[in-house]
Amino acid sequence: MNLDKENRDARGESDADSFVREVMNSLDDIEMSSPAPFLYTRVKNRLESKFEIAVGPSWLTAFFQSQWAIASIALLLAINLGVVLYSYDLEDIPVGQTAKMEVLIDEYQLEYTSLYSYIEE
Amino acid sequence: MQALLEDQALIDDLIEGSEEAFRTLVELFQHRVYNTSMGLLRSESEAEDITQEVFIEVFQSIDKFKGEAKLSTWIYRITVTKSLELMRYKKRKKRFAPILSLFNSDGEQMVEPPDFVHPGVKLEQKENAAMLFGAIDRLPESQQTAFTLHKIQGLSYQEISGIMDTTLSSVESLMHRAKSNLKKHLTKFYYESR
Repeated sequence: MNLDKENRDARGESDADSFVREVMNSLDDIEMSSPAPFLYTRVKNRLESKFEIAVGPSWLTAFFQSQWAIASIALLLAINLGVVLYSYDLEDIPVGQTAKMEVLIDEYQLEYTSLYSYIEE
Repeated sequence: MQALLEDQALIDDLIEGSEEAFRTLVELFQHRVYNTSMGLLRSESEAEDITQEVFIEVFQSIDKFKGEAKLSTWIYRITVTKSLELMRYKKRKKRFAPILSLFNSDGEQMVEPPDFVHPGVKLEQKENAAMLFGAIDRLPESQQTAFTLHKIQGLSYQEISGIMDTTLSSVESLMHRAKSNLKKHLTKFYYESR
């Protein structure tokens, strides 16, 4: 203790200066510390989960990469095309077929669009 | 020169998506990233979290690395940026804590963490180091960064200027002001605690 005091006196240092110097030097021999083990595995898992969120669920990805997607789109196109062609056919019924259509409408009473109109009639 | 060539080989492998290269990168830099982050954040759990975030960022943006700086400088830069972002977020949260607590029906209080003790500090220095970390906490952000990189990571002023994207003389000035401010805080603390 006396030796410390003598050293301080020799340096012309006050107690406060000595305290500050000791605190300032407290990190001089600091050692590198290590993160918890298996950091790489944790980073990899986190990266994979981030990537999955960004890309979307795996079943969705698989679906869009499969032949099912192509088949579904083809089917939808076919249905749409069918509907368009069918409505086109109705508009262009030949004159000869109109009489047959009228008989069919009479027979099945298709001119009534609601029950009320049928009762009123 | 050899180090630069090795860096380039590692970067090329990473760009190609090599898992082995990524593992090598994590093993090479984990201590530097973790310790830098812990020096700035003074929390082991937050440092661990930032370390993981840094490697994810490196993996995702390695193709944007131009090679103007060393790979280590670039990684240090990401680490410092991410750590400072978290520090700012924590400060904002702390600043608004009294207002938020008025609306918080649970009556939950923000708990101040106890004095941080770096696990790499020697046992006989732990008390002094805790005081020093307390004083570092009161420094402006740029002085904290320069001081931490120099004192904890042992980096030269030249390397710090690369990481902080500033000139060598600016780093010298930051270090001078940091030491001077720390001395002021510690002297005040000494007289107050007597």
